[in-house]
Amino acid sequence: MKALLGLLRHPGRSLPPEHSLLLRASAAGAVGTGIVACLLQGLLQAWMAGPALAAVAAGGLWSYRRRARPVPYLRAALAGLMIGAFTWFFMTVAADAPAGALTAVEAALAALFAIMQAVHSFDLPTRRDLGFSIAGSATLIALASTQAVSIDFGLVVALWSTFVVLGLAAAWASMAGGAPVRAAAVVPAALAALAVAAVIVLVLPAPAPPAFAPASPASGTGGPGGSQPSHLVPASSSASLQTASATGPTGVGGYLGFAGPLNTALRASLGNEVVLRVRADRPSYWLAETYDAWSGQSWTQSARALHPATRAGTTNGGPVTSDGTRWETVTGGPPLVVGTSQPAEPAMPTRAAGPVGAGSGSTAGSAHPGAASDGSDGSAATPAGTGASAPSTDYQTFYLASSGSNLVLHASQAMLVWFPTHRLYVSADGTIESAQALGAGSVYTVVSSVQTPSPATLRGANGTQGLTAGVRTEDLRLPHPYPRVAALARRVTAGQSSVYGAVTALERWIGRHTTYTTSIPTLAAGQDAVAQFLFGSRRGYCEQISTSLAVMLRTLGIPAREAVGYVPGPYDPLTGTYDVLAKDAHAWVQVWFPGYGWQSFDPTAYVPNATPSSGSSLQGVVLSELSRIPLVPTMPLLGLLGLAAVLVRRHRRRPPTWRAAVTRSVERAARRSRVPTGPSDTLGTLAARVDVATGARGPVTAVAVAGAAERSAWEGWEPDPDTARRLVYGARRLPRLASRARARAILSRR
Amino acid sequence: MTRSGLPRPRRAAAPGAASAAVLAVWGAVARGSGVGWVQTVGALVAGLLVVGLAGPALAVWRVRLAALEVPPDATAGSALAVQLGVRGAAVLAPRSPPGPDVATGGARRVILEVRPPHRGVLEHCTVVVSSAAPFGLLWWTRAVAVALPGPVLVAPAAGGPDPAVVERGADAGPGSGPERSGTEVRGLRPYAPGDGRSTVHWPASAHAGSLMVREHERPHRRTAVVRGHLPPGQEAAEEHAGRVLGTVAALLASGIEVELATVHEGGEVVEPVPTVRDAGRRLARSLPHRAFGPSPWDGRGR
Repeated sequence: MKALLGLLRHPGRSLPPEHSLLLRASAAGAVGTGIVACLLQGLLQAWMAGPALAAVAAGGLWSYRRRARPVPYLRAALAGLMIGAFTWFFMTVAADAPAGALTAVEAALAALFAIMQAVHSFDLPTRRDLGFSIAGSATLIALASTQAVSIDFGLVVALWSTFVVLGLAAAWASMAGGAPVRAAAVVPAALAALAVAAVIVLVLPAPAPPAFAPASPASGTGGPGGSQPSHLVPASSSASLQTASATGPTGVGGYLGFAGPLNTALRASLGNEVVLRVRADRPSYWLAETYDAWSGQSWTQSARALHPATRAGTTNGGPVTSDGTRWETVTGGPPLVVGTSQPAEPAMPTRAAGPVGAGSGSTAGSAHPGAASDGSDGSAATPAGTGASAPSTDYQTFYLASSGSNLVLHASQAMLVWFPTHRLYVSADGTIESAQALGAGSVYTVVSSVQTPSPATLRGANGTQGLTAGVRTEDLRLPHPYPRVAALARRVTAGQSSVYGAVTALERWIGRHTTYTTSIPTLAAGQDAVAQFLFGSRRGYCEQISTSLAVMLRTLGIPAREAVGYVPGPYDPLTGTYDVLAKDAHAWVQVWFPGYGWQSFDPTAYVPNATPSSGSSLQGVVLSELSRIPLVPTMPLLGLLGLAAVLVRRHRRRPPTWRAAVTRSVERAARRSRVPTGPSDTLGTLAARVDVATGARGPVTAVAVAGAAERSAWEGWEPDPDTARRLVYGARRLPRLASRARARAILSRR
Repeated sequence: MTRSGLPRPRRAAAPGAASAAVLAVWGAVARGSGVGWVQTVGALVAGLLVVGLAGPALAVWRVRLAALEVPPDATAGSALAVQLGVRGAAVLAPRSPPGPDVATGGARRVILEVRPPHRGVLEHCTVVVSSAAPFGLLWWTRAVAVALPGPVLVAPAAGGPDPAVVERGADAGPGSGPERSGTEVRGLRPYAPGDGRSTVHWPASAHAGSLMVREHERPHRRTAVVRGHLPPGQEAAEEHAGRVLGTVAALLASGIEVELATVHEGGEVVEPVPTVRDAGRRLARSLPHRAFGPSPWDGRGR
């Protein structure tokens, strides 16, 4: 019993106490950064993170003061608290988290780790305990990094890495008998670790973006005779990257297409800021809404009827994909049903596999947003034996980085939505709207149904079957007959027997005869945008290009409508998300195919850039590429590299002997003092002038150090190392003294 | 000349296994979550571990040692202070001769306190340099033989006096008779100014009628020859050398001049040893030699 009490009183106090303040501060900093990271990622609530941070700070201070005088029974008490924390964790997990619901465990796990660190911080007498703290902070950072979707998380990682490196370096310095932590030793080590990390990131398979779309079972060479859809543009033949940062008189920062009517007469100025991030199974065109009424200048929605989406009385905890990945639950309630699980027009066209270009109307490397079919106004059944693959489920979680409209973005046909508000409205064309605008930080998850019909099947789908009369009328309506456009459309599609063939023929014609540019003048009042584009300048961007295709199709009696949204945006392997920029706003065309619903076509992908001067083109490409470099990891890395370069340069240029160092300092002081120099000057005469100019007094003057150097050079006198060091340090003061004297002289003159 | 062996890790199994486990778990989390940040932070941790585990090899390789100052004489079993110049932070463990570890703490000069275990001529000091720089995750060691500025003659630890090793003048050996005074009376002469009062020989003065004083002369010193031939066998030679040194010390303390006979590579040498230190030096060099080892290249790490 006595032995047990003794063990509880002072268990295992054999290691010496740690005295390094730097190590203690670094350990506390690393743990604090981990807790803050979890707080920023929403894994910890403020009421828990705040006390945990305070406990870490107070515990660190307490541990330092009592490092050599262990408190009796402290470890036993802390162990009791730990056991309590573990009990709470297991009870919480067992009560709240359904089996396999890792998302529910993460927050509890973060709380457990934070409590453990806070408790442990009161018992850090030795170096080993501090090492455990630093290692434990990695678990907090790891948890936070699983939730990070922003490049800004790099700041947290950089801060934590700095604390860890400093802590480890201080630990080694303490092990080596209290050696000082020198930047000259720590910085190269940190750079080496960074280089190893970079190599690992480059060598290991990164979380790569999924293919743009699942490959079609019936792959082909493309073209009219192939089985691959001809409306898909291979990466190699696509138009080059096209910027969509329009410069127009409106100066509107957002895309005008989301502000009600889509007025093609206006010119927006779209920026490079990230407006939302999307974590998705695969990249897609994120559809916001469609328009069916064309006035000659503007697209609007005719007679939009909204009906509220209903709550599914099913699952909680977020949808689960086929591979077991559980998606983030946005709200605690069941999802909102915005479509049918088996779409009325289930077949979707195969989309091109390959890289996705960025930029509004700038689909470098891909042509098509894929399919979108609303399930409300069509009722065609999927034809048997058409070659269409079975529908697959596509999950997307949208993280809004800036305030947006109340439109709920989605890929293809949305089925379910986990949404932070209680009510959503779905219009007849499939547009999903929230009752209120969504602010920055809003998160929602959409489940879409995707099906990929082959080109051959689409070629067999002609007519307007499945469309209600009203919808058909609206999607064929034109503000005026467009005789010239109709003649052109008929001429281009001559010989095409299918809708699909007509669409692709028109796309190719547009690609051959128009050019892409955002620098186009605004339309005059009453001027028709399509006529101006096709028979006027033939220069425009996605709105003019897609509108022209839609109008040409309507003149041929093919139902078509305008769709707006975003292209996928560049994939960020760090966050695993697609970063959608403001300039990624885009417009494309949807065409009706009986049995397959509305299929999306993007004629802009065929349109080459307007030929700029080679210089401006190169400049644009360079600036565009530079703007894509993430600042957070790049700038610290460049800073570290610059610091390392400076250190290496200083090391290489340092004088080989104390005499050379002294001589250099005296000469530098002479230059700064602007004292006259001549070719016959000796170091001593130069030093005498420097002393006069600087008014140097005391034991270490320029004359004194120069005299020592000359004695060494001519008399063979060599100082002992300490004296030599004093001479060098004293000489280093001389240039500073010279600068100050010079400044004083200038000021006194004024 | 300073020579050194290759850096070797010390007890690498535990840190290596722990690091591998951490990275494996991290990799699994990264693979499961599919988030790039997990992979990035994991890569950073891996970078720190790689540098922390392998970096000490470079650090210990870069540590430079040089012996700056060492006393010319030492005694077996007694501390010998060796001043070393050090470049780089490390922990120094003298292996041959052994001594307590010293952490340099960033100092440029450290004092190693070594204890030569036996007599001989110490020309280099083998030091095991250990470093865990830059992150203190794993120790790497390297044995370095530091050449001393000059040979250190390590005398045997003096044992008890042994009359058997005294070859001649045994009667003058220690304990052979009472101590003699420093002078003896040779005769008498008349007093001269300046003579001490105590030198007056009163009976002769009374007999001669004038002051007569004693005239002294120094006694004739006797010389002992100590046989310092060491037997074969390291332990026996060490023990014998200790007895010889003890005997010489006792004889010298008795005021007897000592000639020490020792065997060296050039043959037998019989020469007087005016001090115990000289005797120790002779014995340090006498055959059979015993090297200070082990060598830093014997393949053993610490």
